[in-house]
Amino acid sequence: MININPKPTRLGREKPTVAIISLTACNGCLMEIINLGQLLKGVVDRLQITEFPLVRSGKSPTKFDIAFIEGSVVTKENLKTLEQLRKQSKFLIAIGACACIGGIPEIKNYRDREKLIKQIYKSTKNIENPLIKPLKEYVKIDLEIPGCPPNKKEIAKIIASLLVGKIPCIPQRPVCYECQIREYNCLLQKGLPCLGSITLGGCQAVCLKSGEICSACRGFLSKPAAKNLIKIFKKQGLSDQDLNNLLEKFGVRDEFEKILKS
Amino acid sequence: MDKKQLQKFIQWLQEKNYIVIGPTKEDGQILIKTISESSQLDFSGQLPLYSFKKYLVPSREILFKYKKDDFKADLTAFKQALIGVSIFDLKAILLYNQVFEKDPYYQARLNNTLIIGQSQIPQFQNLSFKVWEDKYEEDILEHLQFDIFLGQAKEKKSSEFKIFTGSKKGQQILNDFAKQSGWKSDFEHVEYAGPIKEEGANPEMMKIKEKMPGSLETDIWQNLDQRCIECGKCTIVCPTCFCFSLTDQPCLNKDEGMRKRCWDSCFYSEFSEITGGHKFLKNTAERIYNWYYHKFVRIPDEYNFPGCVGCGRCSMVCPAGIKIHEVLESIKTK
Ligand code: SF4
Ligand code: SF4
Ligand code: SF4
Ligand code: SF4
Ligand code: SF4
Repeated sequence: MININPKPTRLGREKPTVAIISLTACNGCLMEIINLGQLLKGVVDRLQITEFPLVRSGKSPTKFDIAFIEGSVVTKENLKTLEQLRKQSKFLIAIGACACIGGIPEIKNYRDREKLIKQIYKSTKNIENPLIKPLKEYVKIDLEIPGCPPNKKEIAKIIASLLVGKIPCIPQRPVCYECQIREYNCLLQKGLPCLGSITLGGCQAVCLKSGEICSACRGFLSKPAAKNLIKIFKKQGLSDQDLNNLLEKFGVRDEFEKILKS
Repeated sequence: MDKKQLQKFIQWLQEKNYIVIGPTKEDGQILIKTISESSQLDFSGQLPLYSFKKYLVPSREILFKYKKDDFKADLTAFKQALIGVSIFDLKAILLYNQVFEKDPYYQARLNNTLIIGQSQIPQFQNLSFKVWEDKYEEDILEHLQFDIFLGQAKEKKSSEFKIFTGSKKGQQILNDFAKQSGWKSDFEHVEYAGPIKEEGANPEMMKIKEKMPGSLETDIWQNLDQRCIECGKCTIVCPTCFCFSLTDQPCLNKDEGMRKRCWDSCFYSEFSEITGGHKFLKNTAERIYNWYYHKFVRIPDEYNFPGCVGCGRCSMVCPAGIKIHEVLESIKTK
């Protein structure tokens, strides 16, 4: 679900200061920003990027007009960074599935965490192993740019809006919209458990383009008709186990269950 | 005109700088696309799931761009020939012509478009999709707007087309083609007599129109409320749905930006939302009711013909299995 907290966005500067920060993550989101390529030139010209761990390191100024943050809170250090950044930033943007909805790391919430950690690390002594939560559960987030990875065109549009003092927003349209204006075959009608109808669009339905179902890496619409979708899934014979596996992939099982209960 | 001559005609149009667009088979699906060779066209009469509407109102278009105080609306349109437009889609174009009567983008496109219809009764796998009891006889042509029409002879195997024209432009083009190609010009002109038949408004439509208001409380809509997933697929494939949203999008370059128009659907939650967050359509029942109300009450009120041409596409694409003819039946018998 996308949270947009209206707030003064006249960023008040010709060249707003920007931080782009990673918590525990694969850095895929930051790569998307770097991959803006041609567009990046436009971005760099109009922003003053003062914190971008993948590009350069320097000492951090005390205030940012815009801050992008990706990844999950896994360590105490991560939490400190996040809280610190919140205090330092006027407009804090969570970017990517991990930051917005929990993402792939959240899969461990649905498994035996203690057992898992032992399978992965030789010594588990200094490894913190918390539940994974979207960043908005720790601090106030002003905008979420979801996706695994996020869509670079969308990032560019959002930055452009912020630069003119407009609160960016992602239209509440499902993935089906983008899938169908592109005339892709509907996999749900073929009996596959596609989550596109309840998932927030904006990714240009890339998975459907390659014949894969949508597994909701962008999180859900604000009021999805999930109760009716599940009826279709059940009719098509999808087992609870398979549905859970699908929903756990990007950590939206808890969200989904909340919607069904509401 | 036989198939060979038709292919020649299509080639000739391409030489005259027309982009030729028509149904073509791709991965077992009939899609409407730009074709490079006339042999790509599919005249099987199978109804393409996605209609011709995107060539008159694209799913996404830039209305204008600005750069500081400089403002540019791009109204140039390519010359395009839409070929193989079914009677369903021709009827839908009638509605579009009314709705977008004052839209300069639409009009620019329409002026550069050659509409070539084709009569075929689409072979539904399931004939129960039928919405209207229409007979596809030639007299239907006088109530449609087109330039050229290819009437396919009733005998299945025949590859002869009986040619009609419905506009001066169509006549002109066929005459030019005859002059330049040696085709023995042979066509009949049909004068457009308005969208409504002499007998007046469709009585079936009137019946639904009377029954719709006040039915929101009935279990027709409560039942659909428990089924529809609000995917909006029905509005995207419906050849008559015309709703769009406008977005102003600044660019990364300083002082530059654009206004865009893209298709929208009344099934989406922001469709009826206004400043302050109020939504006129609050839940699934109200949204699906609005869909029917618009097609079977508001459009008839405005134009005296239904906002549904009976193509059955919405039923074919609905993942929840909602069938328009069944819904209409329950409205009529309520
Ligand atoms: S394939 Fe998925 S995203 Fe595409 S229309 Fe069907 S349900 Fe929607
Ligand atoms: S189709 Fe679904 S899973 Fe794929 S990128 Fe889009 S939102 Fe993510
Ligand atoms: S049958 Fe359905 S898709 Fe076809 S015109 Fe009517 S409402 Fe639209
Ligand atoms: S209101 Fe709904 S049914 Fe009517 S044209 Fe718009 S999208 Fe189609
Ligand atoms: S296609 Fe069916 S499920 Fe989807 S919005 Fe239309 S009626 Fe509802």
